[in-house]
Amino acid sequence: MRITRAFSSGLRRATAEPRMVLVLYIVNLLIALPVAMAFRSVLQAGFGSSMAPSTLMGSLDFTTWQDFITAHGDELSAVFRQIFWVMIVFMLINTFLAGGILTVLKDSRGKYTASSFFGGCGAYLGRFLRLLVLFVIVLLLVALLSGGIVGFVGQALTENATSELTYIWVQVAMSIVFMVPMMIVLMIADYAKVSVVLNDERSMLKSAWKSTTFVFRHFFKTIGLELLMLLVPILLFAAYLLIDLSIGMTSDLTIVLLMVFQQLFMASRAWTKVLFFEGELSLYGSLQPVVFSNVEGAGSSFVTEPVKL
Amino acid sequence: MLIVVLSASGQTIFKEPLSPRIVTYKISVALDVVQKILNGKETLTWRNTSTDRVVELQFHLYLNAFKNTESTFMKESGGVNRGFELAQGGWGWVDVTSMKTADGEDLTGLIQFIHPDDNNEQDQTVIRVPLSKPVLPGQTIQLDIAFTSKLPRVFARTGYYQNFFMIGQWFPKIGVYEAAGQRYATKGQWNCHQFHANTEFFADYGVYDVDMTVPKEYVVGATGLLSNVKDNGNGTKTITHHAEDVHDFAWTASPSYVDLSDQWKHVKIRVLMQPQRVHQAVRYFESVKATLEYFEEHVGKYPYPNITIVDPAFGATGAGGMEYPTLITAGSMWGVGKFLKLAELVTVHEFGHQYWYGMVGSNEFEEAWMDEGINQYYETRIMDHTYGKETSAIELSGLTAGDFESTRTGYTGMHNPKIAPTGTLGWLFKQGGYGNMTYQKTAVFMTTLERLIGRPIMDTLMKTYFERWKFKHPSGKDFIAVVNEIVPKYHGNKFGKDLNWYFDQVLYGTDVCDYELTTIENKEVISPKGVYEKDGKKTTVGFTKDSASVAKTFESRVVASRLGEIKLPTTVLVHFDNGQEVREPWDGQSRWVEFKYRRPEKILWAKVDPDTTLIIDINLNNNSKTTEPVRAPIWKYTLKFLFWFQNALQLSGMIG
Repeated sequence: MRITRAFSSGLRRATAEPRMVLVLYIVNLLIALPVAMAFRSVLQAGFGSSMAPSTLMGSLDFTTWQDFITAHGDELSAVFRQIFWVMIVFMLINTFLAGGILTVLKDSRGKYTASSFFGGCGAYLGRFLRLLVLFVIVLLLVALLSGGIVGFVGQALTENATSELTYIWVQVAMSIVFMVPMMIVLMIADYAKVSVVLNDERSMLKSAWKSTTFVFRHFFKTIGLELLMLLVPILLFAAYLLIDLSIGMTSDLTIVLLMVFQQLFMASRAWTKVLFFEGELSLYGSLQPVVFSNVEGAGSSFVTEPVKL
Repeated sequence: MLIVVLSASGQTIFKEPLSPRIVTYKISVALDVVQKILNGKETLTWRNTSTDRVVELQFHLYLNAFKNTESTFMKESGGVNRGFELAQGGWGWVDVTSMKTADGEDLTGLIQFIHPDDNNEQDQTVIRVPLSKPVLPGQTIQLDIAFTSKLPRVFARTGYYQNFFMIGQWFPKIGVYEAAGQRYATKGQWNCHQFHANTEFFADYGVYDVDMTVPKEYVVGATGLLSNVKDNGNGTKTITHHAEDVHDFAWTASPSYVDLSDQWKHVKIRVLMQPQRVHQAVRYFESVKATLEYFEEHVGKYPYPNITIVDPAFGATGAGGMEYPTLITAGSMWGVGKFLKLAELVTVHEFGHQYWYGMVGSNEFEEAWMDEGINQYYETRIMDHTYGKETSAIELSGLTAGDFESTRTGYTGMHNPKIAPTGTLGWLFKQGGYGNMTYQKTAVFMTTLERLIGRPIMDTLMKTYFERWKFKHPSGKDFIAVVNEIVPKYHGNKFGKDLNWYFDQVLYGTDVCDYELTTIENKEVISPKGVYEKDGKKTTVGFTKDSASVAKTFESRVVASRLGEIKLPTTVLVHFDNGQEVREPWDGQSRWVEFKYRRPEKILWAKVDPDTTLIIDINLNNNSKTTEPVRAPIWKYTLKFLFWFQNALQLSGMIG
């Protein structure tokens, strides 16, 4: 029941904070736009005033695309090389924004204001950056260990396989086995942030340890909530795919229409981010006694107690 | 289950020989499935059809290519072939343990390894056997050869994987003796190349009778027709196959095969499937029938009464996609449906080899383009005809590609399409490009030739080539001679007295073809205005009340350029804004050509090679220009890119 309450709280609160969702969406769009426009420039310059692009309005014309890539592959590569660095920058910006999200959400009666949001971003940036470094290292170690184990086991199970069915099922199983620890680490990282904000933690190692013990002490609740919340973006993506397949982008009108749906979907992903944080905050608050004191610039404070359900 | 059987030993398949039948092989072999060894005895009869006294014989021992890392094959391939590595400890070899003439002369001690291509002393894929008595013109020599072959773990088309065996190039095979004037021989000589990473095979036509002893539970498929099955009473059986007018014999054995059959006209189709993919068999049957139909209509009749298609085991994919007379290996994968037509593509391609190399026996070592490239050309024709020009390779939710499209990209998309002439000897593609040149570029220049001369004439040309050279060994110049005979018959002097200029560029040269529509310009002709002297008087000419309704005139020009070095005749199509069009022929020789017009209409767009005849052009996107470019497609893909990049950012944000 705690899971469903936390989930409901997440849904309610994410919907009640449209301005915060808008900020998150706009940041995502503004970071992505320059690279997308660079991509457009390559297409524009590469095709010039050729009639070839008209073959791309229906399905992707293989010959036109391949000839384009052959002639302009270097320019495209230059654009794609930027992607990795932009993703790093976005990761850092997301770390910054997480402080603001949690500051707004931790006050169950509060609402988004620019000052409380960005105040929170600044207040927790240092701590969240230290958590980021810590958890990137943990993720890499877990990935190496998990990857090594699944690789070894997968190889042993498929070495003399005579049917690709064996190979496929083993690969699927090993992929799940590989992903689960990664997912748990990401979840612990989220709860560490929650703990920092609710308990005003100063030691990130302590916060990481507390969140780890929290997750494993309430393993099924935390995993259960995470899987339940994960259903939301999956269902939203499925809905988007159906719309994409129905509308396509084969005329000026359908291009604009699908663009609108694409950006609505991205806004829903921003909304989902808030859903996740609120759900985790709510579950954490219901299971852990929290003593909270004012943090300057971090908005109003409150004390929570585990709620008996 | 239908299997074509010769009901009695000694029965023939063809009433009259189809080929010169220079060789006959009678082979008895036992497969040791535990040791992966073949113990064989071979009686070979070879006929000297030349006017030379032949003083030695030369043989291929192909399996020795997999004996160790010092063989020419392993050195050239680095131990990797067709994307697969030779498994550690999975070596293969063949030993000739005894070679005697019919009258008992023991030649075993006279056997010498030779290295006609690269002087690699460690390579043991070719032997010479000097004869005490030469084989005179028209005479035959009979040899009894005992051999042991160790199969490699499936590598480079042949070998074993667990209880799956694909057995190709497994017996000592005599080379081809070419008399002076045959193909490129200036004197009588053996054509017996070493086994290279990039080369396949070359042998004479003949008759094979092969007894294969395997464990009872094994299902066997082989070249030719089944003529006998004998239970040996010791847990093994001996299966005999008889094949006529073929130049190779391959076989396969596995207890796991599901044996399926169907019929197309006179041809029994047998498919040996892996059990987990039985549901995919229909794809093999459909595609091979489509291929049989197409070849019969466009090239010539398939004369053999059967074809066997082998579906290799998972883990033995290196044995897939290969051709042997009346037996091919294909390839399918559980879960890969018709959205990716690999099973169809490989079947069409490998069956096509029954014609190009199988019946038209070109030299795969020296002129690989003649079998791989011509066959690739037919593969793309058949796939596009049967499964759609834009969907014959891939058809998956908006992502489509045709077989010819993807073949063309294999050449035009190369980092260096000038890497080597297509006509290069197979083992001399030292910097790479063997596959791109012999398969893909050849298919593209064959298609370009077809578009230049027309499909009906191309079919006449190919039918002539097939009928004239089937069961023989043509060279590239023989093929070009047929082109030069047929094309002028229908086109007169349109392409000159012959098409040597075409093949010099596309087959023996390395240049690329690239035509571009460079410029469209429309300039309004402004009527003279101002004060002019006329008859001694000053007259003002210019704007009048009605000048706005006076029809405009435009001086327009179109420039097309030749960016590549290949010169081919083409056309420039000019489209005016009133819908009228003009086609301007251009011989494609000069670096650029300009067409000028003075008309009331403006040029709206223009295209060089509007019918895409010159499909060998490496960049079709620059063939056109318009004064009203369409921007929507660019925005479409920009927005798609933006959307997926935004999603990728959200993923990275999960860590932050």
